Amino acid sequence: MSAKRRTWAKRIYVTAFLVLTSLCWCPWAYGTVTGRPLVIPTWAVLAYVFAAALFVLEWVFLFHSSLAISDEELGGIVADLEAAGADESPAAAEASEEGER
Amino acid sequence: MTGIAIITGICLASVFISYAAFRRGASKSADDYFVAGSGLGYFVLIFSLLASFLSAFAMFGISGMGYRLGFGALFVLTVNLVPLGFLWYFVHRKTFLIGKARRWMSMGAPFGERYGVGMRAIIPLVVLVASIPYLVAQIKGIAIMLETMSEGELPYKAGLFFAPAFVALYLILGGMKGAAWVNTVQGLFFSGMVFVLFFAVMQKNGGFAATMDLVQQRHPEMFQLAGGGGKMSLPMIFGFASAMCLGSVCFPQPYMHAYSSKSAKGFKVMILAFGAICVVVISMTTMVGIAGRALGGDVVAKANADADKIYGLAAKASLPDVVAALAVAGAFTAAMTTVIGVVFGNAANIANDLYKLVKPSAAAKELVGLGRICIGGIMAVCILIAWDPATPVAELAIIAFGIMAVTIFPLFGAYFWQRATRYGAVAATLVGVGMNVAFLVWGIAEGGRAGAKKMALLPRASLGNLNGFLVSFLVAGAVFFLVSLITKPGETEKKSLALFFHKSLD
Repeated sequence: MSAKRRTWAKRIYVTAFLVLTSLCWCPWAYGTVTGRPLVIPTWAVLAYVFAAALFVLEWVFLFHSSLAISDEELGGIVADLEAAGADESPAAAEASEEGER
Repeated sequence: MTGIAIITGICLASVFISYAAFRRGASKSADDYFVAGSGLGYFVLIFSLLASFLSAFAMFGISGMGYRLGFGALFVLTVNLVPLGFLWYFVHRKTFLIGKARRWMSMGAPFGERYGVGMRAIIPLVVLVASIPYLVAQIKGIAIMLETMSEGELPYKAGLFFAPAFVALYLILGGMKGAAWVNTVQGLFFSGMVFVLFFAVMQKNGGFAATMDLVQQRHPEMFQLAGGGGKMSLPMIFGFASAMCLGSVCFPQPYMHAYSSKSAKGFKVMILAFGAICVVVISMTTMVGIAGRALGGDVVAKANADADKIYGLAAKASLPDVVAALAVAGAFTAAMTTVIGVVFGNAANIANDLYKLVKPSAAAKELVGLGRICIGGIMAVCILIAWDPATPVAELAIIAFGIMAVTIFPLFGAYFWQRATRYGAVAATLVGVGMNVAFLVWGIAEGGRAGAKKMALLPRASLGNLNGFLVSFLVAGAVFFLVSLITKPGETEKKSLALFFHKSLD
């Protein structure tokens, strides 16, 4: 996937995540729906539906989108970070900063 | 005494499990002891994380809320936690990746590497201050439960030693691996018991649909929100839902489990499964509370006096004695596993953050030894605070989530905002913690213990229809961004960018 497509795909996922999260955190748009066709109140059914939709979205993002980290990439990323962090000691950074002052 | 015998049996089995982890050589180095050698598979990770979060509140408290508030209580610990699949991934992806590369073993590690020693010292102290009342509430709850189940034969003060003694034993013996396995077994147990209780309670009145029909006939308000005659308003629901979800991101458990994960798949399965399992398990405890309204005069009379007792009352009314005792023992194990998760996170913080600041050259054996001492010390302090049953720990425990949640801004800055400074991080943390404490004091001054709870969780017109938690959270966020913008990043922040914003993390 090209960098541009990845960026757009991430934006779409984040937007869908924000919308569904707001619906899972508060029945702001559907709390007034009355009745209970499935034994429990309709607005509670809708909350479960939004939660299920969010779960499926998360599952697709994490395991089927190629946007989330995978075990194939993990070793390479960790090796890169180990190399980047090799000369990055917090204690040394603190000491040099104190010295500059 | 059947219940006490069951609980003791579960605890002894857990000691054996923890000892088995120890015998398999899991606790020989600091890495092994604190993060299980980063070798936990996803089945253990899922149930360990679940069990370390779900306390007795998830059983007694939530069924009590279901009993009092009806279906609105579904937004406290069920559907509102599904976003954690994304939230934990976005926030803790770098915790997992950089943690593996840098061998992180505590919650303070990312803050220390990004912002320097100030934040590395503040974070463990903030976590400790927030979690001690939370731990004391669990230990008090266990002691009260034991006293009730033994009909006074095991007095409250003796019961205070029960959980800490077992927890200390699991953790001192088995470290993170022992804790994870104990959490997994106990998590499976209490999830199973919730299923049993749910089906028994529904069967009592002829099935799920018949039970709900009965509840609606007697209490139609249980099926409504505030506008339609129910008790939960939209601001109240939003306050609960967001506080619980955002607070969960910032507790030590997700950090420790991210460090302990063997693979990327394990990490992703763990964060995805958590919300889904909560929806299933906690929906059942909520509906047990709602169905309690249809369980007859005696149950309703007792639950009206104390709604949090509905879980035990429903078990007693719908299950044979031994199975009812097992169901209540499930709640006991939920409290135990939360104590395990929080105590271990704090011990790891103190040993790896605070002590290593004082003695950077500390050997692995020394850190493991100190971690074990900290576990014993934290448990002793908790017993001491809980000694007087009148100590208002439940009120203090309410602000634990609020206090932990304010650390999300420094964490966000560490991973996603290159302009973040140590001054912004420190100011946001201190202001957020200070405001949570101030709201607690204000609430107590205004209305005693009940006032503290209202101030933290219920919306107030004087606060723009927000609760104390959300106001503190928003102000801490504003302080973080403002102070970071008006101060300059120091050498530590600049040097940390090479690691925290490495191109391989894009």
